[in-house]
Amino acid sequence: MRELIYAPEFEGKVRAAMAVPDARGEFVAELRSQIVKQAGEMPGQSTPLLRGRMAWAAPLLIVLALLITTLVIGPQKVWAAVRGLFGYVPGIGYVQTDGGLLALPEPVQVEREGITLIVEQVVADSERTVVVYKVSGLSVQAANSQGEGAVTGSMELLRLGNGEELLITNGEARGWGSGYRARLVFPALPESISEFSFVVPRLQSMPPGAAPEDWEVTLTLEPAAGEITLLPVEEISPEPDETTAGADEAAAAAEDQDIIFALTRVVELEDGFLFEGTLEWVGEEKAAFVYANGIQVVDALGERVPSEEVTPDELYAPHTATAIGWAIRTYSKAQPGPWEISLPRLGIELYPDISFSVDLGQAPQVGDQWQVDQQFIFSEIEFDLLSIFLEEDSRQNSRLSFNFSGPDTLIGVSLFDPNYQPQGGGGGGGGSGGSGGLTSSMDYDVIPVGVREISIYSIVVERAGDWQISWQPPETSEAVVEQAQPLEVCLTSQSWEDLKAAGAGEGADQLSGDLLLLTHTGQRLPVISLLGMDSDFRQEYGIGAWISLSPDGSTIAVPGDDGIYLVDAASGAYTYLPGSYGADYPLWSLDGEQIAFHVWNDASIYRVNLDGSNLTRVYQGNDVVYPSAWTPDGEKIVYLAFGDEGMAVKAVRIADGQTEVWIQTHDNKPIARPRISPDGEWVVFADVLEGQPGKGIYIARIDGSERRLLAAFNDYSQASLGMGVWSPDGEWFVLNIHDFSFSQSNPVPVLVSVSTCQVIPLFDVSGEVVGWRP
Amino acid sequence: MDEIMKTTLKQDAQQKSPEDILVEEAKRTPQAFAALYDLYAQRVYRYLLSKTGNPQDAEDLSAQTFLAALQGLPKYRHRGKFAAWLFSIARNKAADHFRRQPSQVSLEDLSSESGGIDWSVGANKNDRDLDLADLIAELLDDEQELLRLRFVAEMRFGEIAALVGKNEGAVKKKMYRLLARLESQLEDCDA
Repeated sequence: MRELIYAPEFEGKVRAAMAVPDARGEFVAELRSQIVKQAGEMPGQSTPLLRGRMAWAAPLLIVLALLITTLVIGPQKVWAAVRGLFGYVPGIGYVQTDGGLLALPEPVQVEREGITLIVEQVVADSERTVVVYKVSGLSVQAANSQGEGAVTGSMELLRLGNGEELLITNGEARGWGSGYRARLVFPALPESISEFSFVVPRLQSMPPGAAPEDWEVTLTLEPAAGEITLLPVEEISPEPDETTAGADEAAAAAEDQDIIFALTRVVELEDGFLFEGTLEWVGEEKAAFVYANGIQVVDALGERVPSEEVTPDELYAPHTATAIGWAIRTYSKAQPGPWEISLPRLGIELYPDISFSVDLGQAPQVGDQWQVDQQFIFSEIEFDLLSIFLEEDSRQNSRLSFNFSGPDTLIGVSLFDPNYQPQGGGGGGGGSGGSGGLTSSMDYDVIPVGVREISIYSIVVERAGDWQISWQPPETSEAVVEQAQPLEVCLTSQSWEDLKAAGAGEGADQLSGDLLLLTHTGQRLPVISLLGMDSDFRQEYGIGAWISLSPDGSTIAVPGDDGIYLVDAASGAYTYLPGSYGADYPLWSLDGEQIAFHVWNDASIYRVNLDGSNLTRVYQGNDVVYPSAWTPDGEKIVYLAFGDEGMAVKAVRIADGQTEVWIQTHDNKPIARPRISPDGEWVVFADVLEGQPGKGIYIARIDGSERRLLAAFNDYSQASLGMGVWSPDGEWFVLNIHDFSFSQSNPVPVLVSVSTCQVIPLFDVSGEVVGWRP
Repeated sequence: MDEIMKTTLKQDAQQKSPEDILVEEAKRTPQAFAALYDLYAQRVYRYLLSKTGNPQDAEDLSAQTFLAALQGLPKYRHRGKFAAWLFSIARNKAADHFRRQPSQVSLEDLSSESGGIDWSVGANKNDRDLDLADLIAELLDDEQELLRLRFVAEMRFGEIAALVGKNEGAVKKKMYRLLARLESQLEDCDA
């Protein structure tokens, strides 16, 4: 029997199979900065912030003095005193307006081997240098050329004339397959320096050698003038401003026991507002914020103001365990005020200095239980250690489990046995449970004996608070009011809730045909089935995904691990499609004689006859394609691809491989493949909503004209939109609605009439509709 | 000469590892923790990414781990197993995360992107990697965790032993048996 023997190189294979990508360089640098900053604020250490700033220009001494004051008074009141020193540049962030502001007068572009790098914006003030650059023309095939786990990208830097290099202190980026845009933050330029090189050793997402490397762009900044948009920043005082007319406005900070939720800055944007504030723990105990979710903005009528949480400014927001920044951006300006900005809940980790002892005796056995009934009180939280029991886990290790009882807000307890070898957190355990019960466990290789001194390392509590800040928007003009008109759409988040409440819809009995479904049952892939709409017919065909039904409904194309299989809908028999190795996204030609498919390995679309003959490459490109349909005339294949700054609905002509863009969207994620109507005149596709966060399903003519919304769900809905299929007669479009409030994990199909906007939910059907045969 | 040599040998026996020195320095001067962070940042992130499968969650949990470690450093008693202590914090953070997150299922997902620049959709894996990955996915949780600590977190056997509360010999034995079994199963798949 082989027991301990395996080929030495097998470890390498296991390592490769488990490999995951490295963290983003920007994230690593950002977290390091946060750690250094927090470490500097720990007791007994000098403040590097002060040390660093001493080297900067004289006007900064004002900020310096104010920051020292911050340690005593609190950030909110300090910011109130800094009125007028800040501006906001869209795309860049906050900038100091005194002490000289430098900017790139116009974008600088470099092209190498079909890849274009554009430095779009650079703004440098006395605090930092912010660079925004965009890259396009990348090859996704090149990005994947060294497989998962390959090291990609690099840390950009600024190189000064004297050779000194400024490294990134923060950054973020957004990609779309064939390119990305990044906003990078560097330290402030030395005084009198306005020219430097922006260096990108390796483009993001590219492994070594996959694309041109060592990009270096010379940038010359000039005193900022009209080329940048500088928006005023309203500094907010946490105390009501008694000099303001109508001074019944609430304070701009909400205090609740140990927490202060404060609004500190407001910027009026072209189409909304940017709110930034702070969340601070002022309790006596040491604590750390674990999470703070779901900041909402509601108008005076109780309506949600469309908004999304964004990352607060990395320089002007606190980044300690006990004080964090928050930011939210609205997409509306016209809703009646005052607005209420509220934080519904947050999680806090506390560190009680609590220990307890338990005598396990000299010969405890698995199954033994000790009744403890010891109460603890920390930070006004009362919880009890009810009992301890000794069990054996699946590894035959001994496990001491501690049963706690406490309020529902207590969601975690971590324990620590300092006398147990190994030292450190090896004996620690997290708690789990609910309804006031919590179990925390520690594992031992041998049964622990005797008196154990256990310390409670930390507890995590959830605070559901009523932190609200009131803010009065400025008066709106008629033009802005027009922006706030509700969208005209067949199905919205609200109408979906109404449909759920009403139950089954009318009209489904008028429809006929069979629906091709994918139903999740807990297996690796969903179960494939055909379900009669006007009959009791139902037949299953095994598991699969991204399947496609032949035009006559007789055959289902199913991608497998080694290619595409054709499943006879009547008999259920599987037949392999020759020439389809590595293929997915099968598409049937209208005559049912050919199948087109996509092959990831060479980023191509092929077509082939059902017997495997006439295998032909139709398209190969860098833009990562998701084939979605043949046009009814059989001349083109429609696909979703990464376009410039968003997904695009494209078509490739089979005869000569010429491509054309039908519709350019603003969605940078491939959410759903477009669907062509049976007559080839219309296309249904996904895109972001205009003027508010959320996604919509649109319909338009194939030239992009007559575009309108079929369905729109905002980002705070409990349901999400899923693309479906056209009815055979072209009158209906099926949406697959995934509602997270349902206990089941399958979507609900909803039929939408493209001409009348009638909506018929099929609550009795469980699964995603991916085909409809007459 | 002999006495000098003896003195030298005695000093070598007391020689601390670079990590020992870093930990002691960080306990005295919290800002020195950044050096420890530099050593462990990618390993902790990869470990958490392997556990969660979500880069954003891995980033959040990595941040929580290091900030908690920084806060807890004054209480930490270093006996040469800093990695065990750090990864125990990471494990606890991951456990808390899974307890808090509701499960969500999204069907028409054409990409696994969650916002970062990672478009390795349909990445170029060969069949054998997929088979081995499948076999690993079917292992018991603790067996997967053992492989994860060894091959993703890159921990030494002694550190793993310290973390999971076993002696080093037992950990090695379990690992060797597990690898042998996986290799045998993989050969059966190929056959």
